[in-house]
Amino acid sequence: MAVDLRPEEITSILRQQLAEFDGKADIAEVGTVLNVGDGIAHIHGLSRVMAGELVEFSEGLTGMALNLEEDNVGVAIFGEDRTIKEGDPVRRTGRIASVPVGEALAGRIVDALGRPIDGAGGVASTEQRTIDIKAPGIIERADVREPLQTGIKVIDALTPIGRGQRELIIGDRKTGKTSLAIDTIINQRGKNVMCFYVAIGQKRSTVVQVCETLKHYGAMEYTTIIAATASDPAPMQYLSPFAGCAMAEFYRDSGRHALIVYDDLTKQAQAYRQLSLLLRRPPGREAFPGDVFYLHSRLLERAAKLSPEKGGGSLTALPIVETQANDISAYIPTNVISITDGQIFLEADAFNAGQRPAVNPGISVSRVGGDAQVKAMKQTAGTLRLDLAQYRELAGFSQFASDLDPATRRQLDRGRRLMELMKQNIHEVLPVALQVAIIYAGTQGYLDSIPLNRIKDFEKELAERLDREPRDYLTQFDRDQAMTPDVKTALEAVLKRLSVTSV
Amino acid sequence: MKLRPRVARRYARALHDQAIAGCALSEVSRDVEQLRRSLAGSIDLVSFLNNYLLPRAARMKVLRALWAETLHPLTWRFVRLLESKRRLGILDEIGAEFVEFEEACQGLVRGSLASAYALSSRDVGEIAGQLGRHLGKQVILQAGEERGLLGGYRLRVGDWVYDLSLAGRLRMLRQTMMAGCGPRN
Repeated sequence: MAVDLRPEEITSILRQQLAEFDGKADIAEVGTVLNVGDGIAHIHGLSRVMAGELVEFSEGLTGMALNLEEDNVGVAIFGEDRTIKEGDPVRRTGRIASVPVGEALAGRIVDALGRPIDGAGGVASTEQRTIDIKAPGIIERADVREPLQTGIKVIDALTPIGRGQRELIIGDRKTGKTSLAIDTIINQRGKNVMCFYVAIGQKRSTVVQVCETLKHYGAMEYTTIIAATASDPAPMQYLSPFAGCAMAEFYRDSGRHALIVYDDLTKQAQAYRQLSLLLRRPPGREAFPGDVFYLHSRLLERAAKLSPEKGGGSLTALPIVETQANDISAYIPTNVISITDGQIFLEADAFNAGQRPAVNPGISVSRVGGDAQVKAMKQTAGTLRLDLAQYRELAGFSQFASDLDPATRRQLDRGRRLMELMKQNIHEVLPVALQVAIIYAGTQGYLDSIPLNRIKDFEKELAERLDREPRDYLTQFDRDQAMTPDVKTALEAVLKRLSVTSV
Repeated sequence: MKLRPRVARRYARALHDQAIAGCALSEVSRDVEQLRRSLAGSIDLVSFLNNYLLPRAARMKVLRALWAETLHPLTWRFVRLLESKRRLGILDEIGAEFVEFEEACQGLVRGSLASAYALSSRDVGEIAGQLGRHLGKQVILQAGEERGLLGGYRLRVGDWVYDLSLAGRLRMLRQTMMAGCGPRN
């Protein structure tokens, strides 16, 4: 943001600042660098430093005191450590790490300390928040009741997410985890949900790609990207989710709604492991430090739906965890699964077979989202999970069967169509009314006579007709949000006409 | 910069406590000073104390010849304890810790005083006196010159730095003005 100032104004400001400047003695607690390397410095002195306090090196670089030992302090350095030398003085700042928060951050890309890295000038924020604070207590919370629509059929129908929920997205590499999160952000347009995307340990090109996608779909105006890329030091990668969370909490605590995506917590855990090992903390399972569970639990506990007395705001978290060869029993996946309120499991096999999003409906769950699901969706998709589970079982069994009875064949045909129905193109988010209409068509047998390869066309045609023809269904759906007899009649009328023409 | 081994502090504390209990603090303090002087003055002695390849009996013979008669019985017992624990290599560090601990007990602190131009011993004494009154302790300052300070002086006592130099004030002014410029990239 460029500010035009005339030379005489500058002189006047400088004169005022000089007049107000009181030349008091600068009193500071100072330590000395013992050794430095790999983003970690050990400091002698600073005997009164607080855990998590920011310290300042002579080159203006900051760091965070993590290990307080008898004769030295372990500090994580936020930046390049090459300029720091042994024997350099280090000053206490008396401040705990904090980041700027507020509306000024919308549409910006910032680093883990809230400094803009998108070349669009400074962030005109007036408020700062401590990055690592305690999660809201029990009294301050309310039940998760409002839905957070992802715009993705398979999620909104089978593993619905509520505002204030923590829903894990888990899967191998290249299974569409990030796309799922990005689509959810895109779908928040016009829904008064501020979005935060925390990129941890990713390639810079990927961050640019995400930003471009969000801009393309008009989602960047309500989104902030917090980037600690693979080339950033480990302390920044460790800190970035907490920084993003502090920024999102600003909205939660002011009675508004926010969504935060942590992409991904595996890399944050790896950065924390690196820090911990360099700080000489004892390694545990998979060489992670003993408090890696607490690292994630204290972060994800901050996602909450607040009580009406506290403003009723919410912070929904979508943490992402990457697995190796579908192994969800590894340390970090099991930890995060146990912390979150459900998980969306993405499978590489399904992805490669063209089932996208590659959600495995069998093991994907939402523990609290059911209460937040739109009533119409609940009524429509109630049997969907069972139908899909039966189909998967039968499909496996039918591989060995030579002859199938008509009832089994019917069930298989219905299952195939439902699976086809669950497919959705990337970044093509759907409104809930249309999702309900499509799933209703599938579960009520309107697709049974339509060839499998024409299901997509049917969906498109249905969307167009619902929009074009007398908007009875959409109007009534918006009013009732449930499958009342009137809504059903209006929808069935459209579906009957459409299935006749589609066969 | 090298940290003293943590164990040095524990041994020094134990020796100090025993010296007080045995009413032999001044004798032990004198011995410690003497030991440190010997170590500072003889590289051979330092090498010998660190060399545990020598047979124990041979080492004890040398130690006895060196210190058995000259040291107070408590200090001599302490030296033999260190020998039995193979810790004589850190005798100097233990001595330094002992001196620091003793000074702290007496309410004595050491600090450094850096100034742009050399200060007279009277000025240094006056600054030390003022600082001592402020801290409620007796302050011993080691004065030195540092042209980069431009003017004024800078004190360092323990972890605390009191910067009354011109360079420090200019740095503070810079920070104040930068903070007044609003957000920065």
